[in-house]
Amino acid sequence: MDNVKTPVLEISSISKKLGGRQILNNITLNVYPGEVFGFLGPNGSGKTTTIKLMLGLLRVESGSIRICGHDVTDDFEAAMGYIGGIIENPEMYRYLTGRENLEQYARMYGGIGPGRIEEVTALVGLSDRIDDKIAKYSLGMRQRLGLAQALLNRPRLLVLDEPTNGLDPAGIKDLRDTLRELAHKESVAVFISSHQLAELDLICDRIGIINNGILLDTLTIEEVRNAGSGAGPLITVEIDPSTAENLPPFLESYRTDDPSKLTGQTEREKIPDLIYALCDSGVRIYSVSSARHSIEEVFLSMTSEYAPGGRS
Amino acid sequence: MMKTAAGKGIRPLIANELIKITKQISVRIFLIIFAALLIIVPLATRGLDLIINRISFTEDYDSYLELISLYEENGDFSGAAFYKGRYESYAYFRDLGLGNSSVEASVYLDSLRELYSARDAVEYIQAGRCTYGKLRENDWGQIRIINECYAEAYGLPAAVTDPEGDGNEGTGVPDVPDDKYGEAANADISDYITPEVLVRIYTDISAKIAGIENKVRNFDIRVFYSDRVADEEDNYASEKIQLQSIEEALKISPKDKDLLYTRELLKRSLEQKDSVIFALTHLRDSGSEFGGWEYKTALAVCAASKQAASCVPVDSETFETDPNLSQSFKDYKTYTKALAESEKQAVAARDTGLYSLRRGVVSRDTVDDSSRAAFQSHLAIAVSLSALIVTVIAGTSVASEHGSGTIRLLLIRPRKRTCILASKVLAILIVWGAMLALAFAVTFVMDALLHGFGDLFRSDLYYAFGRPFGVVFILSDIAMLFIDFLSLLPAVSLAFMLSVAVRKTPLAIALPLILNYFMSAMQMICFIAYSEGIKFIAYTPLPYSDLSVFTGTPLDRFIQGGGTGVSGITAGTLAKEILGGTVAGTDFSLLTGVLWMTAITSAFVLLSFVIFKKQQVKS
Repeated sequence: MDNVKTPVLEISSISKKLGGRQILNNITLNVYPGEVFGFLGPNGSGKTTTIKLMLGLLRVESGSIRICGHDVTDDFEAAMGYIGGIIENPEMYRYLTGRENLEQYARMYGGIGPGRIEEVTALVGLSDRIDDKIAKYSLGMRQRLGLAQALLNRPRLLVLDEPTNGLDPAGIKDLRDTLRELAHKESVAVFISSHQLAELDLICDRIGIINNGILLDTLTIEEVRNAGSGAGPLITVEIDPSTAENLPPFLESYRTDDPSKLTGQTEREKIPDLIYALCDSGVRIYSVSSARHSIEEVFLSMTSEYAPGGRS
Repeated sequence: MMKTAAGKGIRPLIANELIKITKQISVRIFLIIFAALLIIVPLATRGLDLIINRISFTEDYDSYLELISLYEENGDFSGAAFYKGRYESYAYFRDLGLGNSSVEASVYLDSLRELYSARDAVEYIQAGRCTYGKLRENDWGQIRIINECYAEAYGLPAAVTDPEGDGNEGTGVPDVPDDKYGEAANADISDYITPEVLVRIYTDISAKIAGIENKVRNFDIRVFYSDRVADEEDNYASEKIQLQSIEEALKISPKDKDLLYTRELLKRSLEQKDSVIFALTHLRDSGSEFGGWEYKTALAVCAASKQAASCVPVDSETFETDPNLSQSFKDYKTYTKALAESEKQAVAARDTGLYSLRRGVVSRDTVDDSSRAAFQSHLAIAVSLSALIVTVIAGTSVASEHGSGTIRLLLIRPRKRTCILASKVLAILIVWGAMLALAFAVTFVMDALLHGFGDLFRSDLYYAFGRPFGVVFILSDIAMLFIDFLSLLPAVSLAFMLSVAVRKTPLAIALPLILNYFMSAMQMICFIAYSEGIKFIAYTPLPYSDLSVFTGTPLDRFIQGGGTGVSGITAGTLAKEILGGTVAGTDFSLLTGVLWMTAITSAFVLLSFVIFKKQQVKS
């Protein structure tokens, strides 16, 4: 990761109380141009509150949030010029058409012509239905329109709160492609909050894990994959269980409860030798795969490790 | 790439809000209903007028015949005579081809009706179907006339006029009492009603009827007015002579209280005569329509002048001994103050009336079947209807954004919240303005179509800063529109404030509407409280929920109520007058109301901005 770049989003020591309850506790994190940042946490962990603070919907009472160098509280208008977002479900004016809704928001920026509206509409694949009333939209279509309105002002920071709600698998794939393109080609920083870990796994460059208002850790996707040890990738070998007795002694530790499966960690360079050794000793191999760590594993291990008290 | 959000102005935001308001189905339905009502209300009231007129014009007088025979069967011949009198008088005008609303009928119908009825009663007695005594027992108004005729012909017997019996009882010597319309009218002269007497009474009544019928046939409005002018001029001359004789008497006893008081009254009366004579002469010379606005205004000028003349306080000793006065007023000071106040009002009313007659500026409610009055009342209805809809729009404005969740996507734009809320306020005002403009245009066209242009373009009479003045129609209408609008602003701004603060649409709409209803009742309560002596209430906002009440002129009181006497300034009458819409001369003022309504509205709007700016969007 290129830490020389100036962050698009700087959250410093944010704490937030709502109705006497501590929702966020001393959150600090940066998001950089061109990266997709996954913000993970169970329901009620403070994801949406963080996003609302970033978008000025809640008051920042301690700490600060800066977007492209502009403080959200002191320089609200400038900060909002760089950000686009969906918060919770993207609720639109049901009595207006999709286009009319986009026009509403376009007018609030100024300098956004009909061309840009066509552009974002096409980008989210809504061109056919853009002149229908929102009342006739499915949840998935509303999500797409939500993304369209967030992109209207060509934001440097795109904030998406549970963006895959209501999307079908094809829609989720489209969204993934769009976000990746935006991030990697146009250097947009994407901040996605979700509790749907499998989706983030496929798209995020970096994740932050939040639980009970505490940011437990931020990790690059590489760090996630290699979580557990520094000894290289995890591999899984599928074998004929009847030949398992031939296993060389140095691979005894690879045995699992399943007699047809061997797993273990090894350096990348040693994998071909390992396969030779297995073949030599007469173990019949059906497949060899590298079993990478998933965000889910990391997430579950961290949230259970730190729940409920957490670290301060 | 979007750099900054600066320099975009509020206009695009207002455009957004206007689209949001006008594209909502519910608002569209309201607006359609509003537009429809603009057409329906004038049509409906016109239709109602026509129906009412038709009912009164096509009254089936023959139904009186049934009533007459009904009363005859029941042996109530006074009642029978009463309806017979009505039937005959209506028939008389009908046969002459004059309607009941003709000038002649307006002047003479009542007296003819009474005389016919009395003559019919006499006929019943002559026919032996009933007796004078029986008629008197169950009198429907004929006895007074019979007794008057008897008194004029014979004088009343001493037994009647002199109940103590120390006069010339039963001699038949004419002894007409001073007040022949008082005592004599109610006297029981049963014993003296002989057939001969009846014939004489019958002849008398018939002569009187013939006299009136003659007047009806030869009626000339100018002569009618001339007679009244002549009456007043005679009055003037005789009062002048009276004054002279009192001056003479005062030379002999210069300290006579009664004489001094009477002198003062006469002096004032003579002072005021100019106005009275001017008003009546104006009627005579212009040949004004009987019962028209000039007629009503002239009569009001006369009444006001007479009140101004009568405002001479008695001295404190007389005040103490007069039970009527000391009962009506707390002390002598209150009494003299009330009199001075009453005189001030009367003089203001008189001057307003004179201005109206001289300049031809019509005072409100003096023109029958006025297209202008219809236009103004229909416009007032339209304004309150529009306020109802605007209250709904204002109450929905911010609350619905919270309700639907759209507030989240609205507030994350590079726009100050103040600016967003201001755009909502302005959009509501623009929609309201458009509704009022539509109301103005449609109502104008509708009333022009239904009533004709008539007096649609006339100026209106106002009274402010101590003098009367006329305002040309369009300015006057805009002023009235603004005053109605201002009366309704607090409710609308409350709806808006609640919409921001409570974020619940039903509450934001319902509470202002309920409060509005409550406040219009409050206005009445305040007027009553004021007349009971709680004067400070006129300086609170409570009585000002409808400002149009405070736009009347001092003249209105005299046109509507015929003026107040000295003892008329009691709590009860004052309350009645204020309720009737005449507040001239009280502590209530349009300016106080305007200031209060502006202040309340500003407070609500300001509060909305403060709350909206600080509000966190938690849900």
